[in-house]
Amino acid sequence: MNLETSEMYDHNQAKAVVEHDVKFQCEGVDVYYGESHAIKDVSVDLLDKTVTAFIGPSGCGKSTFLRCLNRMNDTIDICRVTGSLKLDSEDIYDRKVDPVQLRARVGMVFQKPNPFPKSIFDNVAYGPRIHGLTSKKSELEEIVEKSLRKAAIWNEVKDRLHAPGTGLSGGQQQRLCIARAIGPPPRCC
Amino acid sequence: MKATNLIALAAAGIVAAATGAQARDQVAVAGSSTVLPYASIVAEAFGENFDFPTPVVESGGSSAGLKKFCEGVGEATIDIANASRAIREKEIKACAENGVTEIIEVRIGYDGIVFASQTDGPAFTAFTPDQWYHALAAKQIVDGELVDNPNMKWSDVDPSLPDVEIAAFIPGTKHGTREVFEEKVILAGCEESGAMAKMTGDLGMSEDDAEDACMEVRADGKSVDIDGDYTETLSRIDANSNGIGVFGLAFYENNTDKLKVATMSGVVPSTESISTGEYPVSRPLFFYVKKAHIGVVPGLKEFASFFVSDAVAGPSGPLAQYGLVADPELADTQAAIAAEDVMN
Amino acid sequence: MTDAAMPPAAAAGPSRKPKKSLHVLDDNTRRRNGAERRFRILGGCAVGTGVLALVVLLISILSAGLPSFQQTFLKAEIYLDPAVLDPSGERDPEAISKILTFSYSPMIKGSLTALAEELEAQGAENLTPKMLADMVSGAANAKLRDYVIANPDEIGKTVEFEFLTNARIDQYLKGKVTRESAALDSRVDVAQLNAADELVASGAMEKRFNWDFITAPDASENRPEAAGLGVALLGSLYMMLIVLCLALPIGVAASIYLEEFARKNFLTDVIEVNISNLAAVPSIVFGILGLAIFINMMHLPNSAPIVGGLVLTLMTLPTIIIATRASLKAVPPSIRDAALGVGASKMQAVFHHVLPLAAPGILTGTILGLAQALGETAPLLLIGMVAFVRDYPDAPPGGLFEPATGLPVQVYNFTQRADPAFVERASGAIIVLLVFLVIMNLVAIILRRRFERRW
Ligand SMILES: Nc1ncnc2c1ncn2[C@@H]1O[C@H](COP(=O)(O)OP(=O)(O)OP(=O)(O)O)[C@@H](O)[C@H]1O
Ligand SMILES: [Mg+2]
Repeated sequence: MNLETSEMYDHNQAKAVVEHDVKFQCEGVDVYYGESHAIKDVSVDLLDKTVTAFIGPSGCGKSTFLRCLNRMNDTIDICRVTGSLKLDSEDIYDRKVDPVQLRARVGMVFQKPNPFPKSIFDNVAYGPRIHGLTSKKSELEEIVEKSLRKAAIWNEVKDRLHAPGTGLSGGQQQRLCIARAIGPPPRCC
Repeated sequence: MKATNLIALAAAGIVAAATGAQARDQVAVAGSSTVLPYASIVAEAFGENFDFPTPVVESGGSSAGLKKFCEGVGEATIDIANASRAIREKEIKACAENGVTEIIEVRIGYDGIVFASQTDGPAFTAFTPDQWYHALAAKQIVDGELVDNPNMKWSDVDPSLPDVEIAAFIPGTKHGTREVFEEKVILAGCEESGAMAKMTGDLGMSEDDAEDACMEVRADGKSVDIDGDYTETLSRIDANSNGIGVFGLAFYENNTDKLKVATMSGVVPSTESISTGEYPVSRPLFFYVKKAHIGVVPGLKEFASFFVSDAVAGPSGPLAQYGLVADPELADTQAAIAAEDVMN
Repeated sequence: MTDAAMPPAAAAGPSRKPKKSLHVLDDNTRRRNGAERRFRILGGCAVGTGVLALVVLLISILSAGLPSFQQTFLKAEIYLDPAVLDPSGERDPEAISKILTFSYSPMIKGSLTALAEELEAQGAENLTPKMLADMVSGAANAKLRDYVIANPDEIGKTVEFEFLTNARIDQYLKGKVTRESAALDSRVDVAQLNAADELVASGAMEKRFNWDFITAPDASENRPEAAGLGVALLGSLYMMLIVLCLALPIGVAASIYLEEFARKNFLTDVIEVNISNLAAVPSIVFGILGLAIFINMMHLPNSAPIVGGLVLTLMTLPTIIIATRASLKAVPPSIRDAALGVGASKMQAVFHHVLPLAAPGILTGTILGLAQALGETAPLLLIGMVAFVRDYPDAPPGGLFEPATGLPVQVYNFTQRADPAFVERASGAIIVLLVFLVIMNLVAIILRRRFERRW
């Protein structure tokens, strides 16, 4: 369950790793925003340890589909999802699934950078903190550094970890959001 | 989120405390705004001289005070109602219905009602009830018929009065003073001038109807009801040099630099002329004590007796100094309180 | 800068003259600039009018009210006459406390006889000892009596006291009572004014700052000079405490629930409309409600800050809820998404991220609501807080159930009194009220800065 994406790398690795397990199995997914039908009958398998990219014209529903994978669409009142989406062959739209628990496993970086109006450090440390990964400061610092390195922003911010995250450039903010998304036990999408 | 917890805790505390109300240990008084200054003077002195807490005095008018008084017996109700008129039959009945059967009536003294205008305004120096009736009554008899009051200027009423528009500021109907004004000035004027006799005679009205017709005050703007206190009347007079207002004697005496007073039937209002009964427009002031509260609310009886003691309500006490006309029969009142004599 | 912003013609060569010079304003630009200029002038006028009104208001209140912070005092030596104070001679505290304040008046008069004669010799014609004694406030008796009860050993000695002078003398030194008005005034004599002049010259009488105006309880109509705002201040403080402790948590909790958790349906719409309506309900209605529920049904005491606080809480709640909901709405949804995206629960997202961002707005709303509640009189009228109260309420929580008044009520009370000296005190009370409002707004601004600095 380590699809470290959301940033869409523009190279197709799917064929090279055929032997990987299917992580997400989506079949006949339809998404409606009220009356409007945003996604029509999408079926796709997402593989473990693989970078998958969605490419399409603007407004075709890429973001909408991504939001289905961790049920962020639940926060939009008028949004309705049908079809089957399975994570490790469990239906994530099952009534027993708590979306909060799901989101802890399926991270997400949004289209527009949205760092918390807190320090860079706190932005990355927030996930580990609320998930109770560690209570020790040194361990937390380690996780933060690792996440920032993975998001390729460590060198730019290591001297100003306690400066506000909102003070970074747009691209840096987005990388900060990536670091934040992989801060908790790193998950996907 | 410590602050939130703290506030929540405090909130819970307040709600908890609110459910367990505690015993009242000070006397609660409410009623007439005319009696209020006297009651507050006595309350202040009572607090200074005794170990009891200072009584709490609310104003709001005689009727409102008596209504509150008659709400029932118990700590949530007041102990004393101040009134600038005697309690009415209707009110006694309402009291009895709510279990307030034993009421001690205490007359504290007399209050004069005076007619005053701006010091440098027109020469309003002498009036008779007759003139006030003709100036303020809604209907007058002209040529044997009852018509709307045609008098627009004081000189229309009586050529000896100033040639200015009538502009009278009289107490509103919620004040006890209004009743006295209507009875002792307007009605008296109606009788004096013979209008009353004409109504019952020539016009064939019943006694009651004639009285009502006499006392109905004109509503065409020449007479303005003041629902507030005398301070409001004073500011209306200040703004209108032709205005003439109805005040309590005590209020006038506190503002002699701004107001000039007129005589009534030739008598200058003063504590002396009122106590002798020469000045016609005066009324007794009362307070009413709930006997059931004596012994329950600490200091209630002591406060009532202190109120009418010679040192307080006597001719040289602080109340007289403020403008109250001392009651010559104060000793009887004192005895009645000591014996806790209730009204029938 | 994108390529599209460059004029396409620029490629043709530098020497080409533009069709329209940028150095000459075209009609459209001129029109728009004119409109802007007119708007600026209008705006300036509007602000100017507002400021002018404020300045006029402030000047009139300050000039009328500032003198009330000063009071005239008279130093006098009083012989504590044992014949009056302790006829038995046993210094029995019981017996001494039996002597009422009224008995102290002749004693003060007696002690001042010598001074009166001296003053008369110096030029205060027709001054009798009674007149001089009348220049002292009625509050002097109580002060003497308290002193004697506390120090029974001083009986028989001559002690120097400092008394308030009566209101007319005080108003004379403040320029409100003149010799002309005194000639008409039955409460003051010109001889007393002459005596006051002499006493001021000799230093026995002086006008100075008077803390008692702020701390002392109300006084009766006979002694406006002794009236203070102590009980009213405490009452207002208690009520604000209750409003803060109840309205803030309830209001914020209700808004968070309505804004973040409740499903949008007919019921929440109805609630929303009702809250907006409540904010516009005349405040006296809350007084009627308070009388019916808290006093008649729950049997809470009359005139008590607890009832006032509860009524004002009801009145303030809609304001706080509306302000809180507005500031919650103003938090960008992307912040909620961000928190939910890292796996925070809705509650965590709200309390960790949304609420801190909304805090400045909530605080401003709360303090505005409190300020509104602080200045409210009408609902207090019905629950018996417009009263003459002289005893300070105890510390909370017990004191919340004891009678008290409030600042705006005290202003109203002062304006109802016959003695003109109370007019000045009403204005003084308004100044104190304004100072509190300014302090509250300053606190709001400071807190807002604090919270905002945490981005
Ligand atoms: N909250 C919403 N409410 C209603 N319609 C929405 C909402 N979000 C997206 N849509 C609609 O759903 C469709 C898909 O939108 P989506 O954001 O998924 O596009 P996208 O493929 O991510 O486009 P882009 O490349 O521009 O980001 C669009 O037609 C959009 O208008
Ligand atoms: Mg998109």
